[in-house]
Amino acid sequence: MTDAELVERARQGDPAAFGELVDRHRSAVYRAALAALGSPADAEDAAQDAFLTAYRRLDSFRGEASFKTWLLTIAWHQAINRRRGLTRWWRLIAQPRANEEEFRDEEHFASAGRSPEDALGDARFRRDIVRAIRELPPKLRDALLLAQSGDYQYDEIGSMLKTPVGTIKWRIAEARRVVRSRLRERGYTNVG
Amino acid sequence: MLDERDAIDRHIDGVARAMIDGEPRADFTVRVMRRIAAPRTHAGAWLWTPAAAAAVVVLIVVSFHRPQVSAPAGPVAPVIARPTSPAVEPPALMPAPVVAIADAKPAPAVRARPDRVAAERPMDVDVEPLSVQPMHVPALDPLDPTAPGAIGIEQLSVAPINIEGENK
Repeated sequence: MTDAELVERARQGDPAAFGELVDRHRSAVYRAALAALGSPADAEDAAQDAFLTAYRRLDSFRGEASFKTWLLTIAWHQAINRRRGLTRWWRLIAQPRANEEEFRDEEHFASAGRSPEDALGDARFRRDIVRAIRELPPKLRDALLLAQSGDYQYDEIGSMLKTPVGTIKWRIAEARRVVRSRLRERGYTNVG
Repeated sequence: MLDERDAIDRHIDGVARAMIDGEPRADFTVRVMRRIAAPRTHAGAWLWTPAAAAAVVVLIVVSFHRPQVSAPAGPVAPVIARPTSPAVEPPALMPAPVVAIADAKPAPAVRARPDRVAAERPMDVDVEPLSVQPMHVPALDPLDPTAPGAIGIEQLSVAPINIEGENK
């Protein structure tokens, strides 16, 4: 059964149909929220809110875009609204994120030369990349993270961010360039 | 150079992928459907609670500001009362910590009050000289003595009596 058919059944009052839509798109919605918020707990809350909002606005879905694109746009708005809260920003700054903890917990070996050849696979190197990505301007960071999730096409990212696809591609390339530059500033050589 | 850049970019992409890798909890769908089935809470509650809190704050602020606003409205009677009150206050303070007040330069503190009264009520210019006099009370100058207690008390008791007499 297609998304459109499930949407139609959900509109007619079949909650199971909407449950099926949740199952299909929960990962994509969750990762979009995670890209915006950085915190798994916040991302899950935002994802739930997104599905709830989508259900209540189901009548306004006209089918001009795919249900997934429409849903992701709602999810992105929910996540960005949360991100705007000062508390969330403080948590992002003050508390290390789960992913960073993973990198920190990994055993890492000292990279004496700090060339990328030596550093590849090094947890410290990856941690520095995480830090550089997190320090990116939000527009660049959002584009880079969403593009790498594997859940979205460029046009879907463009719809979510309300930005032309060409701009999205430029932002991704620019994000990589800035990250390379930050790595160079931190003493890594031969980072392109 | 380009190979190096590509290698680093692949690494950046991999780290970015790892940063948003994950799945919602297993009962995610159940919880969403439970929230959908639950009766919808009044969105107004989110608005009314902070609005009520804001109203309380406004009321408190207004109630604190009222006395200051209403004071100028009452022109003559309060004006006379205020210049006397600063003059009465020093004697009340003096008896206990005589030495402390001498060190704290009491004169400027007393001067401030008539100025403030004058600023608030330009109509009461006549009263100002009366209130200035007690501020210069020389009784405070002879605080030089090393044994302060008894002398300080005598001077304090004299000054307010003179002022009240003049005002009346």
